[in-house]
Amino acid sequence: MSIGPYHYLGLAAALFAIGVIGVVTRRNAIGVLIGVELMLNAANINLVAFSRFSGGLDAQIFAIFVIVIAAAEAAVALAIILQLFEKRSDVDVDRARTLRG
Amino acid sequence: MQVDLPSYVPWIIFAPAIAALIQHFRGEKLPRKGDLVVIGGILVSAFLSFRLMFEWAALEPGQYFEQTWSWFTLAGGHTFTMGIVVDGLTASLLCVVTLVATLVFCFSTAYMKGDEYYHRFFFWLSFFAVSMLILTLADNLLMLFMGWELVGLCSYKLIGFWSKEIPNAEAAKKAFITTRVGDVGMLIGMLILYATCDSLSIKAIFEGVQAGKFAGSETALTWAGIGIFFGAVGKSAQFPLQIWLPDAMAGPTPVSALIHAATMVAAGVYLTARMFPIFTPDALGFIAWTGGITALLAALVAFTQTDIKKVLAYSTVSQLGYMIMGVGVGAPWAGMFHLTTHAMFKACLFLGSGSVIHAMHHAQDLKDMGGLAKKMPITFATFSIATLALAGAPFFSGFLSKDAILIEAWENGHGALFFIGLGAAFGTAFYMGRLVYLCFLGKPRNQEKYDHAHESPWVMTVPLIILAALSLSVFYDGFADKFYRTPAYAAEFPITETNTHAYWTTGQRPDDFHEGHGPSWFHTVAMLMGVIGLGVGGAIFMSGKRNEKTRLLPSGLHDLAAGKYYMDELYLDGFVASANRLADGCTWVDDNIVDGLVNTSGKGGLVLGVVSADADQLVVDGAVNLTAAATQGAGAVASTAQSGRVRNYLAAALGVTAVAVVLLVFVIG
Repeated sequence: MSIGPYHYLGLAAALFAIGVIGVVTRRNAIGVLIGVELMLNAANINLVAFSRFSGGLDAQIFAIFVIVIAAAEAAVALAIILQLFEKRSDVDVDRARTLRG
Repeated sequence: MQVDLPSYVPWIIFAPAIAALIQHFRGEKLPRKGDLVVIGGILVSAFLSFRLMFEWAALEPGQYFEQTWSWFTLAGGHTFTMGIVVDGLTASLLCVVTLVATLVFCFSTAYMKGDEYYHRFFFWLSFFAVSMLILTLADNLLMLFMGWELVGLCSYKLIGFWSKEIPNAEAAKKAFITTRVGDVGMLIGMLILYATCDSLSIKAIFEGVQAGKFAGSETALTWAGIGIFFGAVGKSAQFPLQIWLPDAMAGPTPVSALIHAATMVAAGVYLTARMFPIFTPDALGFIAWTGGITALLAALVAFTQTDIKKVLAYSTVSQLGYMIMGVGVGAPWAGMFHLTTHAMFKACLFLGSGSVIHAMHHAQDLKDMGGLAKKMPITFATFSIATLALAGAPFFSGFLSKDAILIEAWENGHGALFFIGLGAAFGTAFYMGRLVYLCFLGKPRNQEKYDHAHESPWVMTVPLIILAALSLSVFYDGFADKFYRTPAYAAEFPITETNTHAYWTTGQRPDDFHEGHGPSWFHTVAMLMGVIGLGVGGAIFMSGKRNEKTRLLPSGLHDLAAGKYYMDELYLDGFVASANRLADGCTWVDDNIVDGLVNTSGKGGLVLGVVSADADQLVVDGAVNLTAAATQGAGAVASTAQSGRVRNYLAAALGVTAVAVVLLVFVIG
């Protein structure tokens, strides 16, 4: 069985779905952050796969950008979580409802 | 032809005006209460007037002085000018006014001596002189009308000078209101002329009439003329507005002499003569008959009066009627001539009566007089000379001027007016004979007053002597020809078609009135009328059986004349009562209908206010509150979506995206 684009896309879709479920269902902020990272990497897999099968390098460069942004995002998100913990002594996102209308 | 005005002419007005101002503000504090200031002002004016008159007389016939200054401009470019014109009419009237005024002012210093408001009296006299001079010098109807109204004001103030007594105040009011009726007519006439000629300058009006601006609407010109003449009817006390002049005798006697005999009342004649070229034949007929009727009716009333001043007042009305008749029959020169001579002898008569009244300690009824000739020889002599002039005796001025009017009436085909005038002339002589006899001759009827009577001081007798001298005919030889035959504008604007007489066309009447014109018997009869009238008027009292109460006219006529033809009653019961009833009706309408409407609408407003307050609270506020509540509810519903849980938002976003993808792929794609 030769490995084709559908395999990559399928893997990426599965990974993205796992990420989404993580973000939506987890109450722990760290868990939510991990879900987000999964979703980003699912997108990266897609980019790299399309690059491999279409022949250009543009998409791979996008992938590198995404990795950089993900790193920055992780740094910002972890800082927010730390602040949250400072204030409330937990990291339960369901209890952080200050924005409720 | 027009000649430039000498530069001193405005000072004829300014000199008494400055005197009046000083007298108004400082008069009471000045020595002699300021009478010398006022007399000084009028003396300057008189001197300049005579100088101007001689300068004018040195011009060629037909030449006149004129100067105009622009005055103001109305929106639409209608410019009004003020100006001074000096022709024979103006020059002679100026001299008459300033001369009589000077003499009357001097006379007043003695007559009014000790009066509480002496200084006010002299202020109003001076102000009157200013107003009269404005009227005389004006070359346009607007300025003339201003002077016209100002003399009316002064007349009002001076008639009511002793207004603490109600009848005097009533007389002043009557004079003011009655002349105002005439002035409305004059204003209407002025407006017609202005509407057609677009100017109130007399020259421009003549120009317009000559250029045919009234062509095709001669009726309008007739009415304009009658309107202007109506101003004269009021001011010169012509029938039917003559009722105010006899009452005006309530004023001090010098006022009667100056204003109500010599100058102001003559202004109507002056106006009519000045505006003569605009009168159509119809208007002239109206003027002539008004004058003739006035002359006769007033003469008859004079038969019945027992107050010395009232007799003279009716005589003045009658003589003014003569002058107006002269203008009306087409001889303005004769009317103006009679104005001039009459001013002298009538001022003399009034001042003479003032002298008598002064001597009698302000008694002026004939019942207290009689025999005064011995006590007051100078007054008697001057009074007699003036009486001869008024009666038209030969060698006195009235003979020339009255005859001129009567001959003109005959010459111009007014036979009826000629005989009316002749009758009035006889009447005039008769009542003057009666007056002189009852006042100065016979036996004293009030011995006590007679014993206290005395001749007046020289400041009163000298004016009498001067005026009596000026009643002699020697001063008036060729006077009318020189002064009145060629008035201003006559040569430039001969207005032939509207005129009955060739006088203004050529500036010369074709024949001389001295030379056998009129019926051949005329001069004899006229002379006899005067002399016999005087003689009979005096002689019937000689027997001593008759006195001032004797009825000299047939009984019915006497009652009618003594009642002044019941015109006061007619006006009071007719116009005044109607006006009062109208006013009462208006009050009723105002109280019941207008006030009712106002109150009803007020109440309606109140009800409407209450209703609209309720509507506001229920409907408008309700709608506003409902909107607010609905918004609030919608907000509450919508805010439940805003849970604050970030995961919910994400889930919703994903759900929507998923639905969108499904639609894209399976439905649209």
